[in-house]
Amino acid sequence: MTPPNRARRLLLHPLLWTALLFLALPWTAGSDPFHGQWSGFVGIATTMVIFALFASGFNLLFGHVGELSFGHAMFFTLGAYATALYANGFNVTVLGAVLAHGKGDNMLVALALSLLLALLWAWLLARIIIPRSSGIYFSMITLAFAQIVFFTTYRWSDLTGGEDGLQNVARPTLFGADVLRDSDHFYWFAALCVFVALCVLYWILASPFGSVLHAIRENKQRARFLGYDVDKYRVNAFVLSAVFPAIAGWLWTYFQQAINPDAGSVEYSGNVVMMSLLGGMQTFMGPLLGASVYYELQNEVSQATKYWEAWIGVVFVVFVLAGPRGIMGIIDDVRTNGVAAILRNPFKREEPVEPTFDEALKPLDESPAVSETGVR
Amino acid sequence: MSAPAPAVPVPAAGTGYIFKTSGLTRRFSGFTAVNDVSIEIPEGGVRTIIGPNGAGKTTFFNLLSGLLPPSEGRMWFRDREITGLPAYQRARLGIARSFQITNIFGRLTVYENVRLAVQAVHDGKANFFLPTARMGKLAERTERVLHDIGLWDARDTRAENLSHGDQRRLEIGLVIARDPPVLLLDEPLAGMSPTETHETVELITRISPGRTILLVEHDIDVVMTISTTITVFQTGGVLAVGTPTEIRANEAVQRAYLGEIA
Amino acid sequence: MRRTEGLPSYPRRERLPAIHLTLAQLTDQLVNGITLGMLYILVALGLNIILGLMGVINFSHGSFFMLGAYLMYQFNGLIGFWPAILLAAVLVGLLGMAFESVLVRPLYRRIPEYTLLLTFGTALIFAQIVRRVWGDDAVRVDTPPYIPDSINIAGLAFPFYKDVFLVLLTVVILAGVWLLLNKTNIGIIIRAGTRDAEMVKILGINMPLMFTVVFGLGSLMAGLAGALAAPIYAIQPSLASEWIVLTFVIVIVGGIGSFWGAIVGGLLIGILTSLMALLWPPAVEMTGYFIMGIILLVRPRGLFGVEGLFE
Repeated sequence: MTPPNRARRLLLHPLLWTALLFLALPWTAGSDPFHGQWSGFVGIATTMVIFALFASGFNLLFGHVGELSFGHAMFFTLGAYATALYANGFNVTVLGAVLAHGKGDNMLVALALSLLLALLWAWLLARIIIPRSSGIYFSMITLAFAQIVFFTTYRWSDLTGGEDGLQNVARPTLFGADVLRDSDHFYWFAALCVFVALCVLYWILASPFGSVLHAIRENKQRARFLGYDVDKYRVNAFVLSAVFPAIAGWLWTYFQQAINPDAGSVEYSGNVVMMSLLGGMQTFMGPLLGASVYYELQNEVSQATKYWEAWIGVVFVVFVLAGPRGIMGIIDDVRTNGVAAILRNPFKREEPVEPTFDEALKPLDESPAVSETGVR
Repeated sequence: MSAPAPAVPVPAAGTGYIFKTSGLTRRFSGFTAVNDVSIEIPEGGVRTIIGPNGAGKTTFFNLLSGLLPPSEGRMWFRDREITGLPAYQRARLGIARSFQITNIFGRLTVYENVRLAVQAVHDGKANFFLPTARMGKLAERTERVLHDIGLWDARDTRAENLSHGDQRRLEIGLVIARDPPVLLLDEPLAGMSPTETHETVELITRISPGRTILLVEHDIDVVMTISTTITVFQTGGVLAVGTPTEIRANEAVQRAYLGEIA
Repeated sequence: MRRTEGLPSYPRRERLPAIHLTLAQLTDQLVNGITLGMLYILVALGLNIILGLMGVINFSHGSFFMLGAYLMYQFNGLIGFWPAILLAAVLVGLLGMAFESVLVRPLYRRIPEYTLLLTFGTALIFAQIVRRVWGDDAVRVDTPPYIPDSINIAGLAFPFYKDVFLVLLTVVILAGVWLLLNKTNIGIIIRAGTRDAEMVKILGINMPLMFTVVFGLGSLMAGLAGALAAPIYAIQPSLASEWIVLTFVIVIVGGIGSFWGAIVGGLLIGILTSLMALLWPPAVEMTGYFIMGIILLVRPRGLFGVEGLFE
């Protein structure tokens, strides 16, 4: 295999395709030429880009470190609530002390607060969870901790508005100009923010740090015996993967101009899991495509039936069983083998993950992969 | 291999031994795999551990490399106590090991595998975004290791697609990538064809000058040829230590092995 | 007791100063917690047996609990109270066996996360099926008229079905499961398989069949818990997601693959959740998660999770 030449590498660069996708979305998202709906909906497009970022952050952990977090909506909801509280102002008594803050409209401050809150929580959790669990045990524990955040937003009505959440969040101004109230403008603003964040994510994944994450995904034990402090890397990756959902939550509040506890629910956590898998979890583009496809599907199916979630579930189950490498996997196969070969043999593809993670079952053992002579 | 100055700071030599254990014991729910082992392993040469199945050889390796914590006892690397040290820190001290079951990064390329091993030397210093100059050094070193283990032509192959022998060799490549003073090789020849065995023995001999190699191996012909000393394990304890000639002549060893066959 | 919907719920009263707690209230909530705990145990033990033997986690386990309740509701009018409970449980068990052999089995060669993903997808499907068949609104099942409403013990009135019958029946069921696991061949195979599936396979035992049977058994326990809970709680499509996360928490608190862990974990969380309703109502739902956090800090593998699976 010769290294691909410069032009080819540029043409296949994921960030180029990300930019193209974002440019195309306002015209294609939700369009349906078969029913005379030729134009797209910019609202759906905005949802897609925000969730593309949310899912990409989640996928940093799932696709690149191999840890399935079932609670990433907690970072999304923390970012979203921090923004809403900052924008709307709050006044609350905690253990006798009065916390108060008037309205603010500096979106950068809101972003900083979102990140701060999400990072603190992520760091605290990482210190508790990472050394104690991996594999499905990790998934269950993240799910449970996300519930703490969910019920806090749900029950702490004084602060969060309880079940109704916080409404009438003003869109921020851009250098003093009130341009973001327009949906089109907001889409381009959100798309730009997401794109910049994704560039940072791409850089992280392409750095030596990113390749160590891949090594950990492939074989924790080997990485450890090469001298890598595996748990330190996992903690860092966990905290980093909270950054992107928090930014997405920040955008989400401004986009919706309201927020309620659902943003931190199991469903939201599950949705980004589905998006990543649908798109292709071990790729950079996968979560982006997955988010787009998810909302496209939702838009189409929900017009036909109010039980649309069942069909999303069916599509997801089919992908788990037959195409766990997702849409990117299919594209990859077509590129390497050609369409004809795929059509001839639609189900015979490379298995994605052979059980290299033997650690999954016994979370705390240093490694059960090595058979102990005479133990059994 | 033209060994450069070791990249890992080496604790002062001169204590005479590379490993020392004292009362080292490991139990598994009632079964004692390693029982009260107190030995000193001298620095340098190929130090082979043999013994029947279940004698505790691999468990002893796992204790030395930090895969398992001991139930009792202490151990030292040169004059530094390593009893409670986590595995990755022992690796940083320069204790590198291979595994009985091939243990590589399956879905990464051969090149990436070796580069990760080389890069590990700098971990903890500048792990996030290395300066380009250092990247160049990494590439240079990676290239040399790939040539040493004869896998340069296969560098873009995914590791999981290599033949068994090549995977074993890649694993040795991972172990020697950071040029460690100590290698723990756990049955590096298992499952190899005669040609592969021959090549790998040659590789081991080539890399052995200037380091200590601890070897667990069943191929008795190879063991007799390349070992400096042989330590015989039986039921969790040390039965005998000596040069190959001494071990061949040792009655207790003969009895143990004949006993196993009978 | 006066609770009608959702779970866990707490009495609709404002926060009470601690000094106003009466003994009756305390007993009330304690017994409440035991009932809740018993149902948790049934659901969590089913999940834990599957997890312990097969190393896979079933997100649809909560759906099986919910289906048990709905099927009980469906058959109650047709064949009567007790047969409906039995039929609902058995049907859910059979569904579990079919589910395992068609959907879960192809995933054994992959990492266990895939089963979690798959069963997350199927949980979505089950929830929508239930909405389609039985609607979005909660349905109720009444206990038959010949069951007394309440029973007096030491001067305190306890709801008979919920706080007396259900608790005793669960104890009997748990004893049965213990005997099954410890005194029968199948149980010995399950326990051996939990420790070392390879070895059991070498001994020539048909593991695929074992897996299907155990998956069915675990699902049956979830279905049975659902059917038994049908007269107590409002039956609605959100039951599945409410229960599954708490079930995970109980498994983590008790220890993966542990019989006694599921029991202690279930009771602990049931009782403390109920007591929290008296102490600080807004935190009721969070009780279990806080317990889990504490347990993780002090005993990372859960209370019984170190050694001795199913003993």
